[in-house]
Amino acid sequence: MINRDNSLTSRVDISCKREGPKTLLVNSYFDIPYKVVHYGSKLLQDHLEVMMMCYSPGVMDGDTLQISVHCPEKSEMKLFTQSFNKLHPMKKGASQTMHVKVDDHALMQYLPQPTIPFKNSIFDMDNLIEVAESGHLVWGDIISGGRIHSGERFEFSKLHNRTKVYRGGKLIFFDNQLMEPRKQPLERMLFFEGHTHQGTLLIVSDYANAFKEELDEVLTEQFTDMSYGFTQCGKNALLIRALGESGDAMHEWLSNIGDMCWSFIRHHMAEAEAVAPEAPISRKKPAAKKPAAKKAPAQKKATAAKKRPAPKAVIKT
Amino acid sequence: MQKLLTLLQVNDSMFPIGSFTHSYGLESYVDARIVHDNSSAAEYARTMLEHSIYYNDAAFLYKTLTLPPGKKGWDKLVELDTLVTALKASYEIRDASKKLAIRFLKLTTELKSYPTCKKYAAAIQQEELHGHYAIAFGLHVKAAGISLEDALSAFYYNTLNGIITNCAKTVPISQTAGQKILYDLQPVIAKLVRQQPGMDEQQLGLCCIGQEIKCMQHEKLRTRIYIS
Repeated sequence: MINRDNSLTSRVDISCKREGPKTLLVNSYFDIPYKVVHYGSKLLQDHLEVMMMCYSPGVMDGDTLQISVHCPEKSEMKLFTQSFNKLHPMKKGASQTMHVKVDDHALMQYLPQPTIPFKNSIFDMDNLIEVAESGHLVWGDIISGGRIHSGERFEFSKLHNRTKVYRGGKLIFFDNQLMEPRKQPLERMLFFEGHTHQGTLLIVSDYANAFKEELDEVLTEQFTDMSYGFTQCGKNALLIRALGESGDAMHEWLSNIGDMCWSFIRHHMAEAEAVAPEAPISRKKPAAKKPAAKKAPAQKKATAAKKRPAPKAVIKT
Repeated sequence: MQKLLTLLQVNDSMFPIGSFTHSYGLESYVDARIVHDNSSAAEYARTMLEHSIYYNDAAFLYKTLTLPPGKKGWDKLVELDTLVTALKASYEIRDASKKLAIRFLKLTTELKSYPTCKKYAAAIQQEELHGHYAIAFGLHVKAAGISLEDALSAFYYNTLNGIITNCAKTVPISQTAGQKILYDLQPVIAKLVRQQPGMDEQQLGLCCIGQEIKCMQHEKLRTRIYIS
């Protein structure tokens, strides 16, 4: 909706459903200037891949966007954004709220392109994510310090990003990030520490701790121009944070880890599904054999994926 | 007099609850040579107070000190404990908060037992609540009748004192330089204590990303003398 002052009040709703092996797009409502499309061919994979596009130059003063995403039971969705989220100079400020629901045995991945706050921009982001007890989430965000290569470095007015994640109805993760370059020593110690981009990847899953063990083996050295850390940020939750110089490189690196995690979770979900119906009937040999037979491809997948992110990030950054 | 002495005792950096075993990411900063001399140690200490402690542990303490009485207060405490657990993303920092809370409650109960402190300790033991030092400290000093302003000032002071002691050990800086930082930051503590009640609710638990990453990196440091 276009308001009297030319600002936009927009809404995007996305939901899907599982049919057989496939996850299909059910609802995709969008206002100007947004559009939701399938990302490439929908026949290429069983899970759903959708992309949110914006055909305006970016977020303008007074704009509000409300996004809601629902992944019902057993659905699998990857949500992408097409372009960097450009925040233009503002006087009042713009805002975005996002409400995500991931039901039991559903899997959702979202790592949008970086947010770039231009000089004098004011932006407020509020993310509420509800993951069911056995739902799985891969969630990320990247924020830059401005249009660095145009000489705009931390000249935005205010950027406030709050992300609350509930699992099984209980608050398990709350990220409250406020950036006000005029009031905080943002480029100094404790904040960006000389870097220009920050990135976060959160994984909430019953397999998050097992995935962290994989990362413990892979991510053993720091990169030359990216500083990162990862930790078990809660029961069944893993958090990776990074500071670097390039939004692209960071997006690629975090996407690689996200994709790796996606495959890891999917494999374990399939394994659990295969074992579950047999368990009550025969507890002894067949149940033990099944996972053992499936373990070999899993390890292959994990080691193949393991090799990918580190060299890529090193070259890129 | 009794109140002052109680505050001095439970807020002492040598109070045996193990607070000296934690650096809260400082060790990673020293390892990366970012904190390496008097001026960088002073900058670290000041930024920690103004941009991390103020929105986090001191704010959680303030929330505890202003809890309403009775069941309503307990419900709010449960909510606060969950919120603090969700905010402390780094495993070592979250765990440090829990361990200090348990030891603090255990020890202070031996000195003087208060019902809310006992209830909080029991809830932590039964894993109903996670347990956090700022909350445990707040419950005890509030029950002991210590004023809000004194409790907050003392808490800031002791946090800073911990930072300075760790800087003196690891950077290292001289004891004199350390004491000078401690003395010079007194007006900052007074300002933060004054501003604490007016802190915007939306800013509770603000994250300093660089510091959080350093806390995470601490898990992987090859040689370390601190637990966090």
